[in-house]
Amino acid sequence: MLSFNILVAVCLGYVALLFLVAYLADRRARAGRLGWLRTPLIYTLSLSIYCTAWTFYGAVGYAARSGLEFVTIYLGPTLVMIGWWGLLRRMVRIGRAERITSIADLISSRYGKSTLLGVVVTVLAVVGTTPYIALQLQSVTLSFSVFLGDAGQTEAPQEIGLWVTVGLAIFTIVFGTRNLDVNERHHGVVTAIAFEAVVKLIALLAVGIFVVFILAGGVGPTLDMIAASPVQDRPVIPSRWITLIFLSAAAFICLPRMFQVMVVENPEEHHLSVAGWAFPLYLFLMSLFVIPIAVMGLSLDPGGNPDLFVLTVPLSQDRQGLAMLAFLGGFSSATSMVIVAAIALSIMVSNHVVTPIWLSARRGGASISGDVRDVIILSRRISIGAVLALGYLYYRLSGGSTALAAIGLVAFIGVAQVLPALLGGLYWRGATRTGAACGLVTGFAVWIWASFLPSFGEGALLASTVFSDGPFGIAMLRPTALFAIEGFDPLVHAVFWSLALNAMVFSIVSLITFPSPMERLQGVAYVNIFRHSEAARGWTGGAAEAEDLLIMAQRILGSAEAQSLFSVSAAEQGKSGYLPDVTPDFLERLERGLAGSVGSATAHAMISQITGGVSVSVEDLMRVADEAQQILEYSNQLETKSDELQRTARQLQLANEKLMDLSVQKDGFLSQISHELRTPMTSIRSFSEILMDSDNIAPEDRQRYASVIFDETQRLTRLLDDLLDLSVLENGQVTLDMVDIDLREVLDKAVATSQMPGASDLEIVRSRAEEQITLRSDPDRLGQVFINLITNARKYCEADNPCLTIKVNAASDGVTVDFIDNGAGIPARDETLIFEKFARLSHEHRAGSAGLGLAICREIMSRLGGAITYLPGQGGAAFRVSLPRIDAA
Amino acid sequence: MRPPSEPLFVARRGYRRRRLEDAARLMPLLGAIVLGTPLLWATTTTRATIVFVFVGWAALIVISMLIGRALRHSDKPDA
Repeated sequence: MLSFNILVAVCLGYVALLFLVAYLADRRARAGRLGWLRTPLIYTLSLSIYCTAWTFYGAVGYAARSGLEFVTIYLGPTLVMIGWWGLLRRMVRIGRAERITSIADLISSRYGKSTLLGVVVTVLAVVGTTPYIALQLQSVTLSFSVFLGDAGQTEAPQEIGLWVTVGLAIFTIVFGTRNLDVNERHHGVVTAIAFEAVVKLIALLAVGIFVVFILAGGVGPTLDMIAASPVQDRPVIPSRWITLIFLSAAAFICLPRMFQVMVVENPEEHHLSVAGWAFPLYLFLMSLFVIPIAVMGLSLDPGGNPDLFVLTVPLSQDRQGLAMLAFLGGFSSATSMVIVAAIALSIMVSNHVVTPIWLSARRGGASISGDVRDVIILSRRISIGAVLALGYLYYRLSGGSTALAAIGLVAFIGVAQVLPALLGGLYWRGATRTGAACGLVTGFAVWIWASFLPSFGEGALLASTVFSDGPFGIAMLRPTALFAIEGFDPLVHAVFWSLALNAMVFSIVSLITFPSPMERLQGVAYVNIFRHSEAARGWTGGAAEAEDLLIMAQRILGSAEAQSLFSVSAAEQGKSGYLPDVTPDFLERLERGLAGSVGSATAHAMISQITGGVSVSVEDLMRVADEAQQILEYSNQLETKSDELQRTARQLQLANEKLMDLSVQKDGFLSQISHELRTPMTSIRSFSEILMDSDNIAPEDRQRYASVIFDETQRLTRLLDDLLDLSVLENGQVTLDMVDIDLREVLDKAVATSQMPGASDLEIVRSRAEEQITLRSDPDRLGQVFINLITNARKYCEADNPCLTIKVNAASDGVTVDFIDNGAGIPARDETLIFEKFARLSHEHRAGSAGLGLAICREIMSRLGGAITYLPGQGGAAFRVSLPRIDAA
Repeated sequence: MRPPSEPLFVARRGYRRRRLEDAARLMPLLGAIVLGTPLLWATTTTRATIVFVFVGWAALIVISMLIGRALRHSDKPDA
């Protein structure tokens, strides 16, 4: 019989061996002689931490209770591994490109380096992993007690759990936090785990071969035995079968410890092609003998605990050595899981919880080299201790109950909540941070309610009335029958609702929210990871991604300009589309383009950062780009302002030119007017002097002189009247007296007024029928225009028999009155002048005209809303007066 | 509107390589079909079911190994 002391000695020896293996591997790695440490074999074996003590001992118990269903726990990971090309390769590639340190980091980094998401995933991982660690401690303690019970000793096995915890904490702290490698690689730990993988495989295979070939007597008899055993009757339930395969696949991807060994510790991407078949083979071998051992255990010891058949079967046959080997297998399963889980969790806790809090508490400029480094290592060590202490506490509090055994699948469902956010982040650019956070929280809440709390049993944490009637009597929310749908298997129920609601909330919120620029950049980087990086290019050299450059350039240059720059460069390289190859020439050109906007130094820094290969600190780039954007906006504003100034200056210049013109016009007017006044004044003065100085003037002369003076005075008065009239009209001070008038009456009056007695006879031709039109206008002013035109014709028509034809023509839009005489007309070059002030055609100078008549007519007509124009080609001088048709009201 | 970043037609070796990648992508589907098949007839853990599952599993491992090997082989000249 194995005494307790021998057992402890063997355990200590095994642990010492582990320390040695880890130490040697670490030393080798430090010396740079990685060699076999980086082989696909080690990588594949390290994945075996999926097989914990729960699967090592528990699989047999599971098979004894539920038959073939136990195999689903291995089939899920098998499907993931044989499909490595689709998913795992992408995860590993991203993990290396973005220097991902944990699954929380992957999620947080994908969604714009969100601290919130990092914390959520970390909490989820801690809550999901702690019971699992407790489970490992329980299995180790149980396996000890098997030996002790067998040996008749009654040492308190609880102590063992404590010592195992302390031992694991020391190992993990020593080898898990020795260095703060940017890549988070732990060669010592990985090698020790690979070693443990071999131990547990050999142990299980040894027990299995012993059972099949020695106890049962070969393969055939074993199959017969299975057919005769109660295992034969265990049902295969399709919904559970499918759900469990799916769940184990999801957990295999999402478990923090699996992510750690699969992605973070992955040395070479192409190792996946080996692990893609070798790890399923490992799982296959691990489960090959599970049913035979279960069947044998049930037949040998029907009342025994099926979870311990791996130990009790060899012991019952008195195979101490085999039992010892099996014990070590279980021990190594438990320890390897706890070690890696503690490392993975400590990385998450320190990176996503402790460090952000510490940095924000410090507020100072912490230099990354010294102080932060120490803080991180310290927080890692404390986290490891805390995680293990939590696991131990959980184990002690749950009292090693059977509820603990059920926690394995419950924990799987918990960590699987990361799946929608993970897959969405890897394949869907539209996935947003808000969506991921909402989905995670929803899934987490449903998991707690429908799976975690009920796992303690009815009446333990939740009152049994909650199970039968729902919380507060709300039947819709019963933990095992959400939405009042009953008849679900509890496991299927929890998996279905938690993941379905999680995925639904994630998708819907992602669809309706808008991602930040950072999220969008990361989304492109994740989803298009293979488009950027062909494996041949290698990672260390780094590759500037044309698309990344385009995104950055668009932020700085604006989309249109950046796109044209890229497409022109692509065309020059003989490529179609927008993404040219990243050649030095292209980079130079792009840099010049950017330099125009942000200055050459910044442009160079930005480009070299992207092309530098090392994971781009996109955040920094964005900050620079944002600053540049601000500068651009500012300069744009300045440009707009200067445009405005230019416009104003132009307007001022125009106004000035106008003023100058007006001043010239005014000067011209003044000289004209003084000339017009001077001429009659001169003759008045001369004649009045003659009358004053000479006493003896003949009366007829005196009469003549006086009449000249009188005429000139009249002329002056008329001139002044006209000027006054014009100035009133031009200033718009005139008040028009608009009434309904008959055009014929106005014309009659005008003709009568202008028939001055003694003047040369002018024949006026009218067609009175057409003049019968009623208009709305000012009769006095309109009459003034007509009189003026008739008087002009009388004065200037040089025909022998002067004749004036007045034609009225009514159209729909207005009335025209044409005054056509039979004189010589007005030469074409003067036509534009006649309406100007003092524009008397000089050679026609006749007394009594100041040259203001037509100018006044023009002003009046424009006041009346009409016009007066010269009508050429009528066989004499012809003026057309157009009147608007304002109908009588 | 994104232009194709890879040539539309490739030479025979490239073509074979792409079909290998397709096969690798299809593996989970094949696995799901193989491992889902027992549900069509099995109601309990019978001998036949156990044998079917383990043989199917082994077949998946062998196929995955062949594809993985072929992929690595065709990868070499490029790298």
